[in-house]
Parts: sequence; structure tokens; C-alpha cells
Amino acid sequence: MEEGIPVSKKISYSEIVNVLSKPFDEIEAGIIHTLQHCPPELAADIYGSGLYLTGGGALLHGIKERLEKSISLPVHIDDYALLSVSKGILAALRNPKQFQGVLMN
Amino acid sequence: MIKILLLPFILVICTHSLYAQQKNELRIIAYYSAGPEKVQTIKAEKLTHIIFSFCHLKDNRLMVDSKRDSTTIQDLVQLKKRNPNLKVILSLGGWGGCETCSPVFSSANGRNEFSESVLQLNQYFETDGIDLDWEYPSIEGFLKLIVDIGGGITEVVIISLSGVAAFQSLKVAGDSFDEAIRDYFRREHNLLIGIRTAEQVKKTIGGVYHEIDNVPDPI
Repeated sequence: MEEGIPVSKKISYSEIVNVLSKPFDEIEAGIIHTLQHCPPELAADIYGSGLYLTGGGALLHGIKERLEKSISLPVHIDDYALLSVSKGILAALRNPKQFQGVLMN
Repeated sequence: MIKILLLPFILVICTHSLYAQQKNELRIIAYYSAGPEKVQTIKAEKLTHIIFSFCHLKDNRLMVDSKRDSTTIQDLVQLKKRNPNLKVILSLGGWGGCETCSPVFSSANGRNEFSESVLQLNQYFETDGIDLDWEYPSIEGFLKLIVDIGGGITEVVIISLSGVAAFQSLKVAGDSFDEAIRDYFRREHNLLIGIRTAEQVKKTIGGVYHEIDNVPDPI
């Protein structure tokens, strides 16, 4: 930035973890907030079945470990997290009646 | 177990309960294209959605065409006092009203700017969404547009067998991580990096927890 000459820098994993923790804190808080507003009848089921992460963001390193520690629930990540959103849309569009309950208006 | 994934980076919490039997209630949707004079004659109590038609594109942005149209939209929003569940939606396009849509929505820049303007207009008028009456979309551009409006959002949903039991939408997602990385480089390393580079960093060594088994090599 000072001289305008391209340079390269070595960046370590732990540096990036520190950078990303702030935005991730918000996501974590959002999950906890949702759980707090979850009807108590469902809490027992969630305790057993846990939390499913999808989308590209689920591929961040350590996301499973961190959430398991902070929320103490089993965390599952789809093997194809990057594609799972579009696969879900595909399934929903193929069978809109069945999935009507989970679509937002 | 139902897992349905609506938008990028959704966190889905599935359960096996019979809770939340959501009724598929009827939606009564009306298009309104007249001026402010007749708004009061609308039977708002009987409707679930009113769609104001039409707004158009000006360059890449969604625009309300005239002062008169602004007044109409404001009056439509006032109808919520009579029916608090009423949703007022802005519509883009209409027959022949979307001539520049295809070129605008075929570029990422155009889609971004359009998405931003949709958000701004909705916040300004306190309306509830956008109706895309784009006649006719090229399929590829249309799908991309939908995803872009949804992008940058994290959704937390609790889904039980028959529907959504709890839901929250956050404005933090992949984009925010990229931005955080860019900021960090600018601040700490005095180095300007592009969005693509930031994304590359995120994809290769992006992480949120220190103690993991396979720590990726520095890049």
C-alpha cells in the first residue's frame, strides 16, 4: 500500500482464526438466540439429534469443534456442504407440496 | 428427517417431533397499479399481500418512477394499520417494463447493485419484499438473481417434521468473513488484497477454532 509494489506475505492459520472469530461470534450468538426461543417440547429432540451445518461456510476449519464446545450439542456437517443448499432447493422444487411447511412466504 | 436448505449457509437444526403443525393458509394476493386516490377503497382486511406495480430499473437500480407512485406506496403501507398481517411488496417490471433486465442481471455487478437498491427501497418504504415480474427471464440469469438476493445471509432454522418452529436470519455469512480478512490485511499488514484473494485465504486456511487436529499449512 505504501509503495504500490506487489509483495507476498505468509499467513498462519491461527492469525486467520483470530480474524474470523468476530464475525463468527455473531453467528454463534444467533444460534444460541434461536435455541432460546425454541419451544421446550423440541429441546429434548434437538439434544439428541443435534445441529446440522450446511453451505460453504460449514467448511471452515474447526467449526464443528467450536460449536460442539460452545453449544454442547452434537454437530453434523454435510459431506457435500458446498452443494447441499442447491440440492435442498432441487428436492423442494421437485416436491413442493411435501415441503410447503418449510417454505417462507 | 426433513432437511431443506433454502439459502446459502443455512444452519439447520432438525428434530423428530410432531410439533408445529403449520397450516397452509390461503394467500390472497392483489396487484395494485392505480394511484393514491383509490387506496382507501381497498379491502385490506381481506388480503394477505398487496403488490405495488410497477417499479422499474434505472440503470442497475430499482426505482420508483414518480412522486405519485411514492405516495401510493406510502399509503399502501398505511393499510397495515387496518390489517397488521398485510404484506406490501414492490414489483419490478410488468409487460414490456423490464427491457433492460436481462443485460443488467447478467452481470454480477448489476445484480449486486440491484440487490442493494431493493434492500434500500424496502427499508425506506417499510415494505416487505420484491416481486420480480421480469418478462421474460433468461433462465440462467434468473436463477443467479435469486441466489444473489439470498446471499450474504446466514439462516438459523429449527425444522420439525411438519414445518419451521423457529427461525432467525443474520446478515453475517461468507461475505463478512472475506471482508474481515481484507480489513485485517489492510490494518495489520498494510496490504491491500482483492475479494478473490480474501476468499482464497478463507477457503484454504479459514477457521474458527484453534485446537483442531489437522492445522492447515500457512500460505
